[in-house]
Amino acid sequence: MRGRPLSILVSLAGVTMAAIPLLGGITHSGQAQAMAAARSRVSLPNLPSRHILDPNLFDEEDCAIPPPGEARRCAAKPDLANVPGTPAEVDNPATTVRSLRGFEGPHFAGEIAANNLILLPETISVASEGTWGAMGLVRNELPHDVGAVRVSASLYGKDGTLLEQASNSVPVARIRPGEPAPFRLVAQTDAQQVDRVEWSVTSGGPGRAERDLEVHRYFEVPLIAGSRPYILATGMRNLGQPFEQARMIIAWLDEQGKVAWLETTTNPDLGIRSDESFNMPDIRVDDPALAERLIRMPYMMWGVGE
Amino acid sequence: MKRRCWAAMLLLGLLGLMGLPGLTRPALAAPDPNNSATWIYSFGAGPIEDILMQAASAKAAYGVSVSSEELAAIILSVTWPETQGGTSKTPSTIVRGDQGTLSPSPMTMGRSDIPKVRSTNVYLFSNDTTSTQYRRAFWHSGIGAWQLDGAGLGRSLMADERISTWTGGGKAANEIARRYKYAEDRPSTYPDKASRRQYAWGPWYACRLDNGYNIKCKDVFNLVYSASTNRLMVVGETSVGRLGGAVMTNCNVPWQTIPAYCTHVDLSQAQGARDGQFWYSYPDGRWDTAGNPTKSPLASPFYVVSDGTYEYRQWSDQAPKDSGYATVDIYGRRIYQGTSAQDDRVSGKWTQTEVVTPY
Repeated sequence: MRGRPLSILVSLAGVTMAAIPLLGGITHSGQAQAMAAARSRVSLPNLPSRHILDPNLFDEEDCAIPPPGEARRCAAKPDLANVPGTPAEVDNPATTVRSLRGFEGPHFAGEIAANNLILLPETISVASEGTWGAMGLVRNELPHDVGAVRVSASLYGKDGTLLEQASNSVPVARIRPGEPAPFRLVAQTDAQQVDRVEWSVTSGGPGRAERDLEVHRYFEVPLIAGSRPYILATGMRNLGQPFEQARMIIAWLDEQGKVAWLETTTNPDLGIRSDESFNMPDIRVDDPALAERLIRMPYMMWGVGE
Repeated sequence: MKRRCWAAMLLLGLLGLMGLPGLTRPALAAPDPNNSATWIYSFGAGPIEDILMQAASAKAAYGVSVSSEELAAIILSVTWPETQGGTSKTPSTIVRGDQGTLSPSPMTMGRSDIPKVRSTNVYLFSNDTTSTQYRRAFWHSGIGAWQLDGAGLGRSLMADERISTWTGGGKAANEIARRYKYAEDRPSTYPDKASRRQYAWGPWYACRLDNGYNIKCKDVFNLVYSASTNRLMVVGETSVGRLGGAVMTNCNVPWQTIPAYCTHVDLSQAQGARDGQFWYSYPDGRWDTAGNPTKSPLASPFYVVSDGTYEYRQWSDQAPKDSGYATVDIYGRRIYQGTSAQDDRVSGKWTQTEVVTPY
């Protein structure tokens, strides 16, 4: 999706949100205790082993198959008590970058607690100039898949008047337990007229989409004025069932971890078979200011087969 | 006799005129599959055999219609532009020995992964900072003749596997074969071999038609493969082996009592092309006046070892000349397979201690 970039991104932390129960992470103490008691681990959609991905290169123990005439060299399974630790390997979803089926990036939770769809307020950027708009992440903290997720924002003026309700669907058609997904809202209202925002997130059933995909970044090159746009090249491999069309959604995160930009690229070829590897159309950005920001920001990727 | 004399003189005259400025020189002769003296591009001799075998394996696995030799040529065509960059020559003027034709080094290490290009490249520097005093404990991401990167196709391969023309080349073979097959199965969109090759090369920037290079992968392919004879036209360089100078050895590790398999990577021993401008110069990297890197450092010698889940790269003080930092041990580790295989650019992977020592 392309459009004018949000020129000024303002944290939602300063906006009163604590009273809105759908905002996970901002809780009253009673709610926090309830959430802590209800935490449950999710089954992460881990990528297959190297042997499954490339059986002609790696054996059943995931060791590299040697060339003819050479001996096998395989790492023994470690005595975990003697594996050296590294600084703070804590599973913090906000900072743990995961490469999973159909996903790559932070914020995929290994444990869920809210038993709801939640917004991640620390990821939400809001325009404070021009027309109101917002981008951010939701996360599925239900123990089952969800689809047809919509994010809505009711915009209120200083006098409490409802100015507008902005709403949009989340482009990831099926969101798995623990998985984040991006959204973008655009309104007509002048951002400076908005005093308060009430958010809601809804879903419509489990959703239908193939998510058993290996997503890859191929390369990323910066814009060169007059000769080359910013390019992000990506691809996928279908590890699951056949589907009609592949889509890659990418969200860039700024220095504060807020969603600063969203793009979607769609494979024009229809009818993707199992185990096919394919290229996605490039993400290309000609705006020098935006390109300069994008090349510096980490990003998240969602692969979806619909 | 007079006629023959005149004809000879005319021919000699014409040949002489050809050397005069202002006249068009004939294009260099295309490589002749039956005359290796005309071949332009070189590759390690043993590695050529690796790629032929891996091409045959990938062809069988994914059902591409082209021959193993043709598929091998497609696979090899990536390596010269990827490792040796652009050239001022063109497909019709390049000759053997020119920059860009030399045998790619399996130990080619990418030097463009700096924070200015992508902020997360800072995690490739030891202790996650470009201000590190141990600059040459650098975790390269783009590695090998196919520049397999931890953010992409190289994610599940360790450094020595990306170096190896057997394993790394095999991975490239599989990825190319699957994409070629994808294109083959859609003839209305990819109607000919040229378009299918171009599709198969999609993951590699050096193969892009709009990258500004004078010689792209498609041009290299036409110079290294003879369709009429189904033959590779690549000079086998015997001085370049499968690991390109890296050495398989054994190391002591804390998680097992018997020595573990490890690989010693010493880039000063790299076999193959070491184009000074691109890959092997400025070992400490290049830095601007503000102290920001403009070219990444080149890693000093290190060991690569796995515990089955993590890839470790150890810079050891066992031989001070090895790491370059006497009395300092540094290692980095990242998950390369299993649960949540990580990009090389993962934070918090550095520790200043020694877990891997030569056996």
